[in-house]
Amino acid sequence: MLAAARTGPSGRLTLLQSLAAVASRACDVGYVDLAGSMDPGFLADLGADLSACLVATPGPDRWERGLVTARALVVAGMPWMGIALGRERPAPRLWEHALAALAEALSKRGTVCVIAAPVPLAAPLAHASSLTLTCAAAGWQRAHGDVSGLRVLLTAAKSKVSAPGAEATILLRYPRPYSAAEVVGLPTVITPQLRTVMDGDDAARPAAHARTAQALGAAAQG
Amino acid sequence: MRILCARYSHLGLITALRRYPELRGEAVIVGGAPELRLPVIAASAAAQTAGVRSGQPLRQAQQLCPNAAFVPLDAAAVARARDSLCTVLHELSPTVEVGEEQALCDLSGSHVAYLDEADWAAAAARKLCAALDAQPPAVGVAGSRFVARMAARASRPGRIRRVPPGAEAAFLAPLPLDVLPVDAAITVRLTAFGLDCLGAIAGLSPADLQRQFGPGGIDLHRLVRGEDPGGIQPDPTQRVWSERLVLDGASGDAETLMRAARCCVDMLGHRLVRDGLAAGEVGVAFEPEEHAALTGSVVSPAPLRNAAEAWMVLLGLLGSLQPPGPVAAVRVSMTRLTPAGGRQADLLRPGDGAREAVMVAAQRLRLRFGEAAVRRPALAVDPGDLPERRFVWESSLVAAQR
Repeated sequence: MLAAARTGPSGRLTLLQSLAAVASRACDVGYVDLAGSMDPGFLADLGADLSACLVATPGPDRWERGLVTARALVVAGMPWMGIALGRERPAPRLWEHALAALAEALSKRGTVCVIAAPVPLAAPLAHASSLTLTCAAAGWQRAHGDVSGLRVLLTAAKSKVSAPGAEATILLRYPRPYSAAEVVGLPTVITPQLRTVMDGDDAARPAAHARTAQALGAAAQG
Repeated sequence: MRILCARYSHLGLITALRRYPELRGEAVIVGGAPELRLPVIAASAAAQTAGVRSGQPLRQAQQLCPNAAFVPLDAAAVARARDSLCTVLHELSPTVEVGEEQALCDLSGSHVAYLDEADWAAAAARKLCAALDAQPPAVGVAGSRFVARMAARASRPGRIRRVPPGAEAAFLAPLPLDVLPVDAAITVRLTAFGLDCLGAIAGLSPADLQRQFGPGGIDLHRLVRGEDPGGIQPDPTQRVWSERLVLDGASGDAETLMRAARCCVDMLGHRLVRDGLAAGEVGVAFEPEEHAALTGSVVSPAPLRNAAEAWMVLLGLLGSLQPPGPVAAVRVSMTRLTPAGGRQADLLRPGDGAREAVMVAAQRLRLRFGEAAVRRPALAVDPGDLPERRFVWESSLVAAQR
């Protein structure tokens, strides 16, 4: 699954870390941070089991090293891998071979890999993805006058298993600092009403939404 | 075969004096507190003067030398010292054995950087001295393991005693019987026969010795004549393999150098398959005629089990090395040798062993890219107000395993 975002805050990295946190409670998790945004304390607030997490921080512009690291862990048997790509994008010729090797390893091992990348997507990334979700901020979630989360509109831009175009809005709840025993967990799908679907068939919309939600859950559970 | 043997103080004592430099010149006993029922592992010269020997109980050592300082053995520091000695000697020789008190390496053949064996041995002694950061080792060079050890024993610190080929028996002849690495009962019987030196035993016929001591009698005869077959026995965990190819004429042609490197890799790959081992790191050295050797190494993402896998890794390294001038010899080395087979899998648990494999892969990544390549976070016990103080990076991946 590839979660991409438009420019500006979109919640894609929070979404990635939320998925990693949920996955870490069931299996080992690898996280390659090329965006420079990784905060293990925030990951723990999201409910992650840090003893199941391996974090690689090769540097913001070292995509090749990050992808090589991810591939080495996947080949060794890492069952869930998250990769956060930053806005500083090196030339594709420097890293597309490493991405191709990673995609091949993922295919062989059956590993779940979630990549968060800014749009426009580089061609190798777009080609390698099996499910591309576009994230866009839909507004803050407020509670008692305070920001408690972010609503994110997800659009399935590419899917190898069904037609693209499905949309859903999810709520990313922010963990409260220093709150004990609060597990935020998986983002909540909060939009039962649907917007545009490609075929315009109203009856198909709930099914499209359900597929998006199922894809999120499947990605988190590995 | 020519073997170099270097004798030095026990590595436990050297590492203890590195840790406590204020104890230099004092009586130091390594082994632990005297209350412990443990043996002495090493003793400094001052303690040996008082009668302390390795293997004695610590309590007895305290009675012999009451003013001595008792320090524990730092096994990790000793292992690091052994590794550093291994690394130093492997720059000079492909086969190396490093022990607690002596190191042996193979000086057979010739080295492009040194005129003769004496020059080569002197370079090894200098490198050992620099690595030990202690009293210079006593070095002996001879045609067999036992004779080289005796030559080092006869040498003095900072000196090299060379036994020319063919002169081993004459060198050993005046030595007393207690230097023989045989059972004490055999030595007693030899003394009872009126034999007081190795030359007297060498004068006997092998058949006589075989009748008296069984098959061991023939081995004893070979030993005292300097013909013992025991060569160098490298430790499998420290083993480094290398193959060196001397070119017919110095060449700077990239294709020639690649073919030479490929030839070395093929030979090493054959040995890997034969012995069932895998290499974790592969290195190459171009030895020019006039300049210092140009070296490089790379830690493989996965263990290298044959020549083809090693060549794929080495190709990338060769592209990054530009020799400054014509190259006279090419050397390819493989280190971090481990058994190629994995552990026995648990058939009842799918995915069993994956965590171990991930840890091994993460360790290799750390070797390749540095300690910060892959880390495991943990929540800080006493977090401060700043977000970056809420967690710590654990130094060891293995210790943090669930």
